[in-house]
Amino acid sequence: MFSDGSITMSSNQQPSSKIDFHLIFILMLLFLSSCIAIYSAQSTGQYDSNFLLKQIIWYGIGIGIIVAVITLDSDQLKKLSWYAYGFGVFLLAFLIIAPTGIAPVINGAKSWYKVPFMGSFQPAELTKVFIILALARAIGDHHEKYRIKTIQTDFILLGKIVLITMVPLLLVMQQPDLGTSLVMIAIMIGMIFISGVSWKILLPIFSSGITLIGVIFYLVLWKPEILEKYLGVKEYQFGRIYSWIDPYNYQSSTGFQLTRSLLAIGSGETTGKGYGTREVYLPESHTDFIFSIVGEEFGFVGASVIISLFFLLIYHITKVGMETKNEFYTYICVGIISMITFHVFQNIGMTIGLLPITGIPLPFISYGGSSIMGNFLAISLIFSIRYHHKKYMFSSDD
Amino acid sequence: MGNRELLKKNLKSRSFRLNLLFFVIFCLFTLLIIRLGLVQIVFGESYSKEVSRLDATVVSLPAPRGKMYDRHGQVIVDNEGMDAVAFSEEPGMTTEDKVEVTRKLAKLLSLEKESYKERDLKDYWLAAYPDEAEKLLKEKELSLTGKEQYALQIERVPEAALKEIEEKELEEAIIYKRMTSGYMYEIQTIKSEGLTLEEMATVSENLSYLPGVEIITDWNRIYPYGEMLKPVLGSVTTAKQGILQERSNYYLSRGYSRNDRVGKSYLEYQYEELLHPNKGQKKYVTDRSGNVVDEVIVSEGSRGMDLRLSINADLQKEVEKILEEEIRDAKAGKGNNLLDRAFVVMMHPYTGEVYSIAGKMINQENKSELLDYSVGAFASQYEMGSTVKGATVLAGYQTGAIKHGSYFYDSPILLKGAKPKSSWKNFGSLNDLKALEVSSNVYMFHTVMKMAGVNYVANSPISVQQEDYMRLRNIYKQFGLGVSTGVDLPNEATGFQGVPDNPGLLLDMAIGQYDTYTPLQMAQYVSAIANGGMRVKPHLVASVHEPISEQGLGPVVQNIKTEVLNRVLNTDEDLARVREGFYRVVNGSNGTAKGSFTMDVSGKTGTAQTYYYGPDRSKWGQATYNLTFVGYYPSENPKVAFSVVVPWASNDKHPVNKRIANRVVEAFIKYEEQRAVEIPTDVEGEEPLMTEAQ
Repeated sequence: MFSDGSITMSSNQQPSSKIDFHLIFILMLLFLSSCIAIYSAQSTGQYDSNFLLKQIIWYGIGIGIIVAVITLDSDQLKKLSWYAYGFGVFLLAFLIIAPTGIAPVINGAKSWYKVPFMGSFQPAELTKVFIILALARAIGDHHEKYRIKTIQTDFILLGKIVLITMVPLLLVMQQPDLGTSLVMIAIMIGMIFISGVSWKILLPIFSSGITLIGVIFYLVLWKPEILEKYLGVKEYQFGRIYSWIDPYNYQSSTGFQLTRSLLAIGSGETTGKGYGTREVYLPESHTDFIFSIVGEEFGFVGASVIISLFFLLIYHITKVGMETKNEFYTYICVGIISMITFHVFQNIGMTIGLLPITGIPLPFISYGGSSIMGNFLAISLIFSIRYHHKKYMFSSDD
Repeated sequence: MGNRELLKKNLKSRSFRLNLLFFVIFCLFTLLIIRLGLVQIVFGESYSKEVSRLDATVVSLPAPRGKMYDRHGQVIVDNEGMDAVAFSEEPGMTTEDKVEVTRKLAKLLSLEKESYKERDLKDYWLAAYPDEAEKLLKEKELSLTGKEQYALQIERVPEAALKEIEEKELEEAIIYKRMTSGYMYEIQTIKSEGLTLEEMATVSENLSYLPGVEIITDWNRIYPYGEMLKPVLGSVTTAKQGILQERSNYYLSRGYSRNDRVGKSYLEYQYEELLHPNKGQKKYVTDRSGNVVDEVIVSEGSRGMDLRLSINADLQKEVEKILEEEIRDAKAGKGNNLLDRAFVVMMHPYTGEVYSIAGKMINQENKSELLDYSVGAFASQYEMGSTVKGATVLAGYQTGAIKHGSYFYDSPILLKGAKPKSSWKNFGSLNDLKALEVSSNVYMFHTVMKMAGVNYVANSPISVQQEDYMRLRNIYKQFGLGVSTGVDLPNEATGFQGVPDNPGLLLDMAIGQYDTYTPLQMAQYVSAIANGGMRVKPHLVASVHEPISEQGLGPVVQNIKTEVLNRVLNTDEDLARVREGFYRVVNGSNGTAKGSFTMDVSGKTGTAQTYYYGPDRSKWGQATYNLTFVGYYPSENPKVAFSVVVPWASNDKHPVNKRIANRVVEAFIKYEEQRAVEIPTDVEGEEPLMTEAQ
């Protein structure tokens, strides 16, 4: 655990160390892993595209984003945050009315814009980061306004956070895009948690939330007819839950991906089968199921390395959030931590049968332009925080 | 609280919560690692086992059916290998793959633009242009099942697209149709007839780029003797027809696949189980992902069992020629306009081996042409006339109605309310031998009336019971008249037995003018007289042989044994007496076949006055004569028994039946008897199986 009193950094004394080299190092390792995994994935020949080359280009664009954002200081980010949020919401809202020529329906969801030279672009990936910015700003403003915390002010704060998240969340849910919606909820929960809302409010909310999820699962599994009767949800919509619980009986539908993925990862055993010697065919393995490739080819060792890399990344961001005395920065860090954690946990969790299958990518590793851009936008905020890091006078004096 | 303190307090709270959050994340990651460890380390081995578990798909390779040889080892049904470009879907092949193979094949093969359906074009278009096919569906229809979607797409294929396929990609569409028309993993022939050597060479060279495509040998029946006996030899279904629907359970329970070629008629049908090839097997080994890892030829397959028929091919050919010539000759004279067919059955009287079973019939569409109607020899039936008199006399002996040497007076029988029934001439007093020699009808009438207990008084009614018909028929059946001969062929006719409504019909039956019989039944009947009273089962297959790659017959698997169906209930003396009568028919001074034979033949002539019920319906009911002959050669220890049937002659003047009979006996001597004498050790086991019964 971190102790806020024990941090002694001297980054503001040497200009060169304003760049976060630790973070760069972690990103480089993730980049390497991504290249290796994607190269192996595309060797199945499911698609003709050279995904590796495209992924490298996306990483290049990602670096561009870091360069552009790193110089923005705290005040500039605060000012920009509402505009960015507004822009993100606009992009999501415009998807609804955009003609299919611009926003085609892919796999039954209208989540993408067609962009020349780039292919398709998913605005929700960027909007996630804009939500973090907006929430961080709103929480900071709130604390500025209500110096004295009461239960009442906490409720007001809670209301603001929920409201700000709800607008883009609803827009994403109607696409429909369950995965991204869940990411947004994860961000919201993380932000509520760090916002300082009293435990008196948090405990009942979280415990009732957990209970609710429990009840829903019970209904889905044992009493689907009740949900159908009162909520109009059809049984097939629970397919991903059924196939998660019992993948071998749902082999033809979503269960197929899960059994294949489990087979791939499981047969990788401790040390894997070696690079490029996969045996289990998995569709879409270059995107959402990239972790299966790592698990099959490099085994438990390789998979653990990837998980450790993410843990290292989150540890690092947590450290950044801990070290900064700027509460706006801390909120941003927590938002990004929530986002990346959820992505990693959900994505890896689904490939090993820990969670139901949801179509969200593994950050920095999965192939995908929008995802890489969104993640780089988030990480560029960390770079910016590091770049403008100041040691506060009172940091170590009690 | 001061500002600074407040800030400090907030900072502390944030730090605590951040630490807590990090702790939670730590727990989540630990959970991931634990689960990963479970999947990869604890259960890893079982997953590995599952992955390495291989699936095998077995595909059958065509092999030829058994051959048929004649009794002397000459091939009469052979196989001809036909090279074919074929396709069988490999496991894991997608529609895209198949379309790709189609396009490549279309460049290598030239195809007859066979008839095709619009549906074929549509199927191909939907397969070949999946992007455009997808556009045919509306957004909300995407949730339908694949089948429903496809049905909608089929309906919506644009006309223009079909035109374009028809003009530019017709070959592709036809190839695609052939590739996909069968069951998965079953070999589909893409092109076999007209496959040029160049095409085969280019396809062979490119096989590695054509997954699922191979050069196979398909087998077709060929007949070295041309049309000879072809209908009786039977036919085989095409791969497209597959197994016969009416007995699909029979095939499927024996491991046939639905597109297997099977015997469709007669011998091919009857001996399906023996002739059916032992198909080769090719195993595709696939891993769990459906990729083909290995291709193994499990067995090459082998030809079905070979059959040695009892038929003498040369004799059969000659008999057919004789029938053609004699039919033409009979038609050449005046009258005989209704005569359109003739049959000969020749068999070994002791073993039942059929030497020749022939039938010829004028083609109604093209009267100068004679068609093979060998099937008619056992599947069509006629009134046989006086040839049955041997059985009638034996019935008399059997029932004690007459004794050897019993006399009757031959003058017209006058029954009340019926036309007088007489012989072709009034013979006066005559005994059994003479009655056979001159073919007395009246002698037969008296015999059966006596059997029925009728006390004949001229011009008064007689009373005949159904039992009387039954008794006569039952005795006839001992000789094979009116029952199945047991021949090894399907669809045998057994003769027609009417329900008599007047007593005169019993008399008609006694002279072969009421019930009908097949030429094969007649041969069985005369055999029983010739061999001393055994009804032997006629058969066309003499022995079954293992297929060998060299020319000729392989080792014997089974000899078809002589089967005596029953003994007639007459004494040897009774039968000898009838044979004596039959001898006089040919050799007696008043014999009805006197001078007709150049060889030592015994037999019985027959002339049934009957009515035409042939193919020309406008002539139905016209009075005609069925000219028949049954006999055997030589008179002592006969080697061949035979029947000749020539229905629907206009009169009994033209001796077509006797001429045919004489010629076929001559042919038998030439092609069978002398052959066996000249080359006694022709082929091993070639001697006719003279398992003479005591």
